[in-house]
Amino acid sequence: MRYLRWISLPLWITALYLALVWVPDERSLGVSYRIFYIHLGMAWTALLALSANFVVSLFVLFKRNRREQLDHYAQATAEVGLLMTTATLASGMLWAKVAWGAYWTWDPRLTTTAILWFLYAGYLLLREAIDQPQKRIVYSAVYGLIVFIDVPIVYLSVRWWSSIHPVVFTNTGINISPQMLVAVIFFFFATLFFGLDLITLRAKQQALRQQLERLREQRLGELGY
Amino acid sequence: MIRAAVWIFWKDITLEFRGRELLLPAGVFGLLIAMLYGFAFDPTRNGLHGMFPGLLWLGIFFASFLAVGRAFSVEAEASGQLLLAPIDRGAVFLAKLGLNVLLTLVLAAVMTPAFSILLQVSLPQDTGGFLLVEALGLVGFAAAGTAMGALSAQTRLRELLLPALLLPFTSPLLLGVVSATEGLYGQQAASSSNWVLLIAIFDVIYIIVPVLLFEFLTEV
Repeated sequence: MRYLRWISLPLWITALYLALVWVPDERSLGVSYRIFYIHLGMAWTALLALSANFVVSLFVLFKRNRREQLDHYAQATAEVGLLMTTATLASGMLWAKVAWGAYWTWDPRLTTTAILWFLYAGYLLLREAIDQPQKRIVYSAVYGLIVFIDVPIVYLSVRWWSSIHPVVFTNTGINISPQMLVAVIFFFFATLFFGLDLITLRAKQQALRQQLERLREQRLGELGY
Repeated sequence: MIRAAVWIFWKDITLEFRGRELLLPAGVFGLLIAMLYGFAFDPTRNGLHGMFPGLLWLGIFFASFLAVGRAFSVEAEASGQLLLAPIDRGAVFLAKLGLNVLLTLVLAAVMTPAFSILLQVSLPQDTGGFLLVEALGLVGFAAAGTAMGALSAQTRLRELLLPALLLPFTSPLLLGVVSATEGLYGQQAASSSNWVLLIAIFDVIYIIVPVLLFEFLTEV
Protein backbone atom coordinates (compact mmCIF):
# COMPACT_ATOMS: atom_id res chain seq x y z
CA MET A 1 0.00 0.00 0.00
CA ARG A 2 2.20 2.73 -1.32
CA TYR A 3 -0.23 5.56 -0.67
CA LEU A 4 0.60 5.29 3.06
CA ARG A 5 4.03 6.63 2.24
CA TRP A 6 2.59 9.59 0.39
CA ILE A 7 0.44 10.35 3.42
CA SER A 8 3.16 9.94 6.02
CA LEU A 9 5.87 11.89 4.18
CA PRO A 10 4.10 15.29 4.09
CA LEU A 11 2.83 14.63 7.62
CA TRP A 12 6.42 14.12 8.79
CA ILE A 13 7.63 17.29 7.13
CA THR A 14 4.76 19.32 8.57
CA ALA A 15 5.08 17.72 12.01
CA LEU A 16 8.83 18.37 12.13
CA TYR A 17 8.29 21.99 11.14
CA LEU A 18 5.55 22.41 13.75
CA ALA A 19 7.56 20.77 16.54
CA LEU A 20 10.94 22.31 15.80
CA VAL A 21 10.03 25.78 14.58
CA TRP A 22 6.40 26.73 15.00
CA VAL A 23 5.82 25.75 18.62
CA PRO A 24 7.40 28.05 21.24
CA ASP A 25 9.85 26.81 23.91
CA GLU A 26 8.44 25.35 27.06
CA ARG A 27 8.65 27.56 30.14
CA SER A 28 10.76 25.36 32.42
CA LEU A 29 12.31 22.81 30.05
CA GLY A 30 13.21 25.19 27.24
CA VAL A 31 14.11 23.75 23.88
CA SER A 32 14.80 20.23 25.17
CA TYR A 33 11.14 19.36 25.56
CA ARG A 34 10.73 19.27 21.78
CA ILE A 35 11.81 15.63 21.82
CA PHE A 36 8.53 15.04 23.62
CA TYR A 37 6.63 15.25 20.32
CA ILE A 38 8.46 12.40 18.67
CA HIS A 39 8.54 10.52 21.98
CA LEU A 40 4.78 10.64 22.38
CA GLY A 41 4.09 9.79 18.76
CA MET A 42 6.38 6.76 18.91
CA ALA A 43 4.94 5.60 22.23
CA TRP A 44 1.35 5.72 21.02
CA THR A 45 2.21 4.02 17.74
CA ALA A 46 4.11 1.32 19.66
CA LEU A 47 1.10 0.64 21.86
CA LEU A 48 -1.22 0.53 18.85
CA ALA A 49 1.09 -1.83 16.95
CA LEU A 50 1.34 -4.21 19.91
CA SER A 51 -2.43 -4.08 20.46
CA ALA A 52 -2.80 -4.91 16.77
CA ASN A 53 -0.47 -7.85 17.36
CA PHE A 54 -2.85 -9.11 20.04
CA VAL A 55 -5.85 -8.87 17.72
CA VAL A 56 -4.01 -10.50 14.82
CA SER A 57 -2.81 -13.30 17.13
CA LEU A 58 -6.43 -14.00 18.10
CA PHE A 59 -7.39 -14.21 14.43
CA VAL A 60 -4.41 -16.47 13.70
CA LEU A 61 -5.70 -19.00 16.22
CA PHE A 62 -9.34 -18.95 15.19
CA LYS A 63 -9.17 -18.30 11.42
CA ARG A 64 -7.43 -21.54 10.56
CA ASN A 65 -7.66 -21.23 6.79
CA ARG A 66 -5.97 -17.82 6.67
CA ARG A 67 -3.23 -18.44 9.20
CA GLU A 68 -0.26 -17.84 6.95
CA GLN A 69 -1.34 -14.46 5.61
CA LEU A 70 -2.36 -13.33 9.10
CA ASP A 71 0.96 -14.48 10.54
CA HIS A 72 2.82 -12.08 8.26
CA TYR A 73 0.93 -9.29 9.96
CA ALA A 74 1.54 -10.78 13.42
CA GLN A 75 5.27 -10.71 12.77
CA ALA A 76 5.19 -7.25 11.21
CA THR A 77 3.17 -5.67 14.03
CA ALA A 78 5.47 -7.17 16.68
CA GLU A 79 8.59 -5.99 14.88
CA VAL A 80 7.30 -2.49 14.28
CA GLY A 81 5.95 -2.38 17.84
CA LEU A 82 9.35 -3.35 19.19
CA LEU A 83 11.08 -0.83 16.95
CA MET A 84 8.77 1.94 18.15
CA THR A 85 9.20 0.83 21.78
CA THR A 86 12.96 1.04 21.33
CA ALA A 87 12.61 4.54 19.89
CA THR A 88 10.29 5.49 22.77
CA LEU A 89 12.80 4.28 25.34
CA ALA A 90 15.74 5.94 23.62
CA SER A 91 14.03 9.31 23.19
CA GLY A 92 12.58 9.05 26.71
CA MET A 93 15.98 8.39 28.24
CA LEU A 94 17.57 11.32 26.43
CA TRP A 95 14.78 13.59 27.56
CA ALA A 96 14.90 12.23 31.12
CA LYS A 97 18.60 13.10 31.32
CA VAL A 98 17.80 16.74 30.56
CA ALA A 99 14.51 17.05 32.44
CA TRP A 100 15.12 14.83 35.49
CA GLY A 101 18.91 14.70 35.59
CA ALA A 102 19.26 10.95 35.00
CA TYR A 103 18.91 8.63 32.05
CA TRP A 104 16.85 6.19 34.03
CA THR A 105 14.28 6.59 36.78
CA TRP A 106 11.98 3.88 38.04
CA ASP A 107 8.94 5.78 36.90
CA PRO A 108 6.01 3.36 36.31
CA ARG A 109 5.59 4.20 32.65
CA LEU A 110 9.31 3.93 31.99
CA THR A 111 9.59 0.61 33.81
CA THR A 112 6.51 -0.81 32.11
CA THR A 113 7.85 0.23 28.71
CA ALA A 114 11.15 -1.51 29.46
CA ILE A 115 9.36 -4.73 30.46
CA LEU A 116 7.19 -4.41 27.35
CA TRP A 117 10.37 -4.24 25.32
CA PHE A 118 11.65 -7.47 26.88
CA LEU A 119 8.31 -9.24 26.40
CA TYR A 120 8.26 -8.53 22.67
CA ALA A 121 11.97 -9.17 22.26
CA GLY A 122 11.02 -12.60 23.63
CA TYR A 123 8.34 -12.85 20.95
CA LEU A 124 10.90 -12.40 18.21
CA LEU A 125 13.35 -14.76 19.93
CA LEU A 126 10.65 -17.42 20.10
CA ARG A 127 9.81 -17.03 16.42
CA GLU A 128 13.46 -17.22 15.53
CA ALA A 129 13.95 -20.46 17.47
CA ILE A 130 11.13 -22.49 15.90
CA ASP A 131 11.93 -24.06 12.54
CA GLN A 132 8.61 -25.61 11.53
CA PRO A 133 6.47 -22.87 9.92
CA GLN A 134 3.09 -24.09 11.19
CA LYS A 135 4.42 -24.47 14.70
CA ARG A 136 6.02 -21.05 14.57
CA ILE A 137 2.75 -19.44 13.54
CA VAL A 138 0.65 -20.99 16.31
CA TYR A 139 3.24 -20.82 19.08
CA SER A 140 4.01 -17.18 18.52
CA ALA A 141 0.28 -16.38 18.41
CA VAL A 142 -0.24 -18.11 21.77
CA TYR A 143 2.76 -16.27 23.21
CA GLY A 144 1.42 -12.99 21.81
CA LEU A 145 -1.90 -13.50 23.56
CA ILE A 146 -0.44 -14.58 26.90
CA VAL A 147 2.05 -11.73 26.96
CA PHE A 148 -0.39 -8.98 26.04
CA ILE A 149 -2.63 -9.93 28.96
CA ASP A 150 0.43 -9.50 31.19
CA VAL A 151 0.92 -5.84 30.26
CA PRO A 152 -1.84 -4.32 32.48
CA ILE A 153 -0.70 -6.52 35.39
CA VAL A 154 2.85 -5.29 34.90
CA TYR A 155 1.69 -1.67 34.85
CA LEU A 156 -0.44 -2.10 37.98
CA SER A 157 2.32 -3.82 39.93
CA VAL A 158 4.97 -1.32 38.90
CA ARG A 159 2.72 1.59 39.84
CA TRP A 160 2.04 0.20 43.30
CA TRP A 161 5.67 -0.60 43.75
CA SER A 162 6.97 2.83 42.78
CA SER A 163 4.29 4.56 44.83
CA ILE A 164 5.81 2.91 47.89
CA HIS A 165 9.42 3.58 47.06
CA PRO A 166 10.64 7.16 47.39
CA VAL A 167 10.41 9.17 44.21
CA VAL A 168 13.72 10.88 43.55
CA PHE A 169 12.74 12.85 40.52
CA THR A 170 9.37 14.40 40.26
CA ASN A 171 7.57 14.49 36.98
CA THR A 172 7.64 17.97 35.54
CA GLY A 173 4.24 18.24 34.04
CA ILE A 174 3.71 19.97 30.76
CA ASN A 175 0.60 22.03 30.36
CA ILE A 176 -0.31 21.57 26.78
CA SER A 177 -1.28 24.72 24.95
CA PRO A 178 -3.50 24.52 21.85
CA GLN A 179 -0.47 25.15 19.67
CA MET A 180 1.38 22.22 21.23
CA LEU A 181 -1.66 20.03 20.85
CA VAL A 182 -1.67 20.62 17.10
CA ALA A 183 1.98 19.56 16.88
CA VAL A 184 1.27 16.49 19.04
CA ILE A 185 -1.57 15.41 16.78
CA PHE A 186 0.48 15.94 13.62
CA PHE A 187 3.37 13.97 15.02
CA PHE A 188 1.10 11.18 16.16
CA PHE A 189 -0.44 10.76 12.71
CA ALA A 190 2.96 11.04 11.06
CA THR A 191 4.37 8.19 13.15
CA LEU A 192 1.13 6.22 12.88
CA PHE A 193 1.16 6.25 9.08
CA PHE A 194 4.89 5.59 9.09
CA GLY A 195 4.24 2.54 11.32
CA LEU A 196 1.37 1.35 9.12
CA ASP A 197 3.57 1.72 6.07
CA LEU A 198 6.34 -0.33 7.70
CA ILE A 199 3.88 -3.00 8.82
CA THR A 200 2.29 -3.49 5.41
CA LEU A 201 5.68 -3.39 3.71
CA ARG A 202 7.12 -6.01 6.04
CA ALA A 203 4.05 -8.27 5.76
CA LYS A 204 4.18 -8.05 1.98
CA GLN A 205 7.89 -8.83 2.01
CA GLN A 206 7.27 -11.94 4.11
CA ALA A 207 4.50 -13.07 1.75
CA LEU A 208 6.83 -12.65 -1.23
CA ARG A 209 9.58 -14.53 0.53
CA GLN A 210 7.24 -17.40 1.23
CA GLN A 211 6.07 -17.43 -2.37
CA LEU A 212 9.68 -17.51 -3.53
CA GLU A 213 10.44 -20.46 -1.27
CA ARG A 214 7.43 -22.34 -2.61
CA LEU A 215 8.49 -21.72 -6.21
CA ARG A 216 12.03 -22.82 -5.46
CA GLU A 217 10.83 -26.03 -3.85
CA GLN A 218 8.46 -26.67 -6.72
CA ARG A 219 11.22 -26.14 -9.28
CA LEU A 220 13.63 -28.34 -7.35
CA GLY A 221 10.92 -30.99 -7.26
CA GLU A 222 10.50 -30.76 -11.02
CA LEU A 223 14.22 -31.12 -11.50
CA GLY A 224 14.09 -34.24 -9.37
CA TYR A 225 16.07 -33.11 -6.31
CA MET B 1 -9.94 -34.72 32.37
CA ILE B 2 -8.98 -34.67 36.05
CA ARG B 3 -8.42 -38.42 36.04
CA ALA B 4 -6.12 -38.23 33.04
CA ALA B 5 -4.29 -35.30 34.62
CA VAL B 6 -3.71 -37.27 37.81
CA TRP B 7 -2.31 -40.21 35.85
CA ILE B 8 0.14 -38.04 33.90
CA PHE B 9 1.10 -36.27 37.12
CA TRP B 10 1.72 -39.66 38.74
CA LYS B 11 3.80 -40.78 35.75
CA ASP B 12 6.04 -37.71 36.09
CA ILE B 13 6.38 -38.14 39.85
CA THR B 14 7.41 -41.77 39.35
CA LEU B 15 9.91 -40.71 36.68
CA GLU B 16 11.32 -38.04 38.96
CA PHE B 17 11.48 -40.45 41.88
CA ARG B 18 13.42 -43.00 39.82
CA GLY B 19 15.64 -40.64 37.89
CA ARG B 20 15.99 -37.68 40.29
CA GLU B 21 16.66 -35.47 37.29
CA LEU B 22 14.98 -32.29 38.43
CA LEU B 23 14.92 -31.79 42.16
CA LEU B 24 18.46 -32.81 42.98
CA PRO B 25 20.29 -30.48 40.58
CA ALA B 26 17.84 -27.65 41.20
CA GLY B 27 17.99 -28.16 44.97
CA VAL B 28 21.78 -28.22 45.03
CA PHE B 29 21.82 -25.10 42.85
CA GLY B 30 19.37 -23.44 45.24
CA LEU B 31 21.54 -24.14 48.26
CA LEU B 32 24.60 -22.97 46.33
CA ILE B 33 22.87 -19.66 45.64
CA ALA B 34 22.42 -19.18 49.38
CA MET B 35 26.12 -19.93 49.94
CA LEU B 36 27.20 -17.58 47.15
CA TYR B 37 24.95 -14.79 48.45
CA GLY B 38 26.65 -15.33 51.78
CA PHE B 39 30.06 -14.81 50.17
CA ALA B 40 28.98 -11.92 47.99
CA PHE B 41 27.02 -10.00 50.63
CA ASP B 42 28.68 -10.34 54.02
CA PRO B 43 25.85 -11.61 56.32
CA THR B 44 27.35 -9.90 59.36
CA ARG B 45 26.70 -6.56 57.75
CA ASN B 46 23.56 -4.76 58.83
CA GLY B 47 22.02 -3.85 55.50
CA LEU B 48 21.39 -7.44 54.49
CA HIS B 49 18.20 -7.65 56.50
CA GLY B 50 16.42 -5.21 54.21
CA MET B 51 17.55 -7.08 51.12
CA PHE B 52 16.53 -10.50 52.36
CA PRO B 53 13.08 -10.76 50.69
CA GLY B 54 14.55 -9.83 47.32
CA LEU B 55 17.50 -12.20 47.68
CA LEU B 56 15.29 -15.08 48.79
CA TRP B 57 12.79 -14.72 45.98
CA LEU B 58 15.35 -14.21 43.25
CA GLY B 59 17.13 -17.31 44.51
CA ILE B 60 13.94 -19.36 44.48
CA PHE B 61 12.99 -18.10 41.01
CA PHE B 62 16.42 -18.87 39.56
CA ALA B 63 16.57 -22.36 41.05
CA SER B 64 13.00 -23.06 39.87
CA PHE B 65 14.06 -22.33 36.29
CA LEU B 66 16.04 -25.54 36.26
CA ALA B 67 13.00 -27.51 37.35
CA VAL B 68 10.03 -25.97 35.51
CA GLY B 69 11.73 -25.87 32.12
CA ARG B 70 12.12 -29.63 32.05
CA ALA B 71 8.44 -30.54 32.41
CA PHE B 72 7.71 -30.28 28.69
CA SER B 73 11.20 -30.89 27.35
CA VAL B 74 10.86 -34.44 28.68
CA GLU B 75 7.86 -34.97 26.41
CA ALA B 76 9.51 -33.22 23.49
CA GLU B 77 12.48 -35.57 23.81
CA ALA B 78 10.04 -38.49 23.81
CA SER B 79 8.81 -37.15 20.43
CA GLY B 80 5.49 -36.10 21.90
CA GLN B 81 4.17 -39.63 22.35
CA LEU B 82 1.99 -38.43 25.19
CA LEU B 83 -0.12 -36.48 22.71
CA LEU B 84 -1.14 -39.72 21.00
CA ALA B 85 -3.20 -40.59 24.06
CA PRO B 86 -6.94 -39.95 23.55
CA ILE B 87 -7.27 -37.45 26.38
CA ASP B 88 -8.17 -33.80 26.76
CA ARG B 89 -5.12 -31.64 26.01
CA GLY B 90 -5.91 -29.47 28.99
CA ALA B 91 -5.25 -32.52 31.18
CA VAL B 92 -1.63 -32.61 29.99
CA PHE B 93 -1.20 -28.96 30.89
CA LEU B 94 -2.83 -29.40 34.30
CA ALA B 95 -0.64 -32.42 35.06
CA LYS B 96 2.52 -30.53 34.15
CA LEU B 97 1.34 -27.57 36.20
CA GLY B 98 0.79 -29.87 39.18
CA LEU B 99 4.27 -31.27 38.77
CA ASN B 100 5.82 -27.81 38.58
CA VAL B 101 3.88 -26.56 41.60
CA LEU B 102 5.09 -29.54 43.61
CA LEU B 103 8.69 -29.09 42.47
CA THR B 104 8.82 -25.38 43.26
CA LEU B 105 7.15 -25.95 46.64
CA VAL B 106 9.74 -28.57 47.57
CA LEU B 107 12.54 -26.30 46.37
CA ALA B 108 11.20 -23.38 48.38
CA ALA B 109 10.75 -25.60 51.44
CA VAL B 110 14.45 -26.47 51.27
CA MET B 111 15.74 -23.05 50.23
CA THR B 112 13.77 -20.79 52.58
CA PRO B 113 15.21 -22.19 55.83
CA ALA B 114 18.64 -22.48 54.20
CA PHE B 115 18.57 -18.80 53.21
CA SER B 116 17.39 -17.83 56.67
CA ILE B 117 20.19 -19.80 58.35
CA LEU B 118 23.05 -18.91 56.00
CA LEU B 119 22.19 -15.22 55.66
CA GLN B 120 21.32 -15.00 59.38
CA VAL B 121 17.96 -13.33 58.89
CA SER B 122 14.98 -14.76 60.74
CA LEU B 123 11.79 -15.46 58.81
CA PRO B 124 8.73 -13.21 59.30
CA GLN B 125 6.82 -13.59 62.57
CA ASP B 126 3.54 -14.08 60.74
CA THR B 127 4.15 -17.69 59.63
CA GLY B 128 0.66 -18.19 58.17
CA GLY B 129 0.93 -15.05 56.08
CA PHE B 130 4.42 -15.97 54.91
CA LEU B 131 3.31 -19.47 53.89
CA LEU B 132 0.36 -17.97 51.99
CA VAL B 133 2.64 -15.59 50.11
CA GLU B 134 5.07 -18.42 49.32
CA ALA B 135 2.32 -20.79 48.17
CA LEU B 136 0.51 -18.23 45.98
CA GLY B 137 3.77 -16.90 44.57
CA LEU B 138 5.06 -20.34 43.68
CA VAL B 139 1.76 -21.41 42.10
CA GLY B 140 1.95 -18.29 39.92
CA PHE B 141 5.56 -18.92 39.00
CA ALA B 142 4.82 -22.57 38.25
CA ALA B 143 1.80 -21.62 36.10
CA ALA B 144 3.79 -19.05 34.12
CA GLY B 145 6.73 -21.46 33.91
CA THR B 146 4.51 -24.26 32.63
CA ALA B 147 3.01 -22.03 29.94
CA MET B 148 6.36 -20.67 28.78
CA GLY B 149 7.95 -24.12 29.16
CA ALA B 150 5.33 -25.56 26.82
CA LEU B 151 6.32 -22.94 24.23
CA SER B 152 10.07 -23.12 24.66
CA ALA B 153 10.23 -26.94 24.71
CA GLN B 154 9.41 -27.01 21.00
CA THR B 155 12.15 -24.58 19.99
CA ARG B 156 15.67 -25.35 18.90
CA LEU B 157 16.99 -23.80 22.08
CA ARG B 158 14.69 -25.68 24.50
CA GLU B 159 15.25 -24.47 28.08
CA LEU B 160 17.88 -21.96 27.04
CA LEU B 161 15.11 -19.71 25.77
CA LEU B 162 13.06 -20.01 28.95
CA PRO B 163 14.72 -17.29 31.09
CA ALA B 164 14.34 -14.71 28.31
CA LEU B 165 10.64 -15.51 28.03
CA LEU B 166 9.79 -16.14 31.66
CA LEU B 167 11.67 -13.43 33.56
CA PRO B 168 10.03 -10.35 32.04
CA PHE B 169 6.71 -12.15 32.06
CA THR B 170 6.86 -12.88 35.80
CA SER B 171 8.19 -9.45 36.75
CA PRO B 172 4.84 -8.39 38.32
CA LEU B 173 4.89 -11.63 40.29
CA LEU B 174 8.41 -10.96 41.53
CA LEU B 175 7.44 -7.42 42.56
CA GLY B 176 4.37 -8.89 44.26
CA VAL B 177 6.07 -11.58 46.33
CA VAL B 178 9.04 -9.41 47.30
CA SER B 179 6.81 -6.52 48.33
CA ALA B 180 4.41 -8.81 50.18
CA THR B 181 7.32 -10.39 52.07
CA GLU B 182 8.72 -6.94 52.86
CA GLY B 183 5.28 -6.06 54.15
CA LEU B 184 5.36 -9.07 56.47
CA TYR B 185 8.62 -7.77 57.90
CA GLY B 186 6.87 -4.48 58.52
CA GLN B 187 9.22 -2.66 56.16
CA GLN B 188 6.53 -0.85 54.28
CA ALA B 189 3.67 1.44 54.99
CA ALA B 190 1.45 -0.48 52.59
CA SER B 191 0.10 -3.79 53.79
CA SER B 192 0.82 -7.11 52.11
CA SER B 193 -2.85 -7.79 51.40
CA ASN B 194 -2.94 -5.72 48.19
CA TRP B 195 0.07 -7.58 46.90
CA VAL B 196 -1.37 -10.95 47.86
CA LEU B 197 -4.47 -10.01 45.87
CA LEU B 198 -2.33 -9.09 42.86
CA ILE B 199 -0.47 -12.41 43.08
CA ALA B 200 -3.78 -14.28 43.32
CA ILE B 201 -5.10 -12.50 40.21
CA PHE B 202 -1.92 -13.40 38.36
CA ASP B 203 -2.35 -17.05 39.48
CA VAL B 204 -5.94 -17.32 38.31
CA ILE B 205 -5.29 -15.69 34.92
CA TYR B 206 -2.23 -17.78 34.18
CA ILE B 207 -3.83 -21.05 35.14
CA ILE B 208 -6.97 -20.44 33.06
CA VAL B 209 -5.55 -18.75 29.93
CA PRO B 210 -2.89 -21.40 29.12
CA VAL B 211 -5.33 -24.26 29.77
CA LEU B 212 -7.64 -22.70 27.17
CA LEU B 213 -4.86 -22.07 24.67
CA PHE B 214 -2.96 -25.33 25.16
CA GLU B 215 -5.23 -27.13 22.70
CA PHE B 216 -3.84 -24.95 19.88
CA LEU B 217 -0.27 -25.87 20.72
CA THR B 218 -0.94 -29.59 20.40
CA GLU B 219 -2.58 -29.21 16.99
CA VAL B 220 0.62 -28.43 15.17
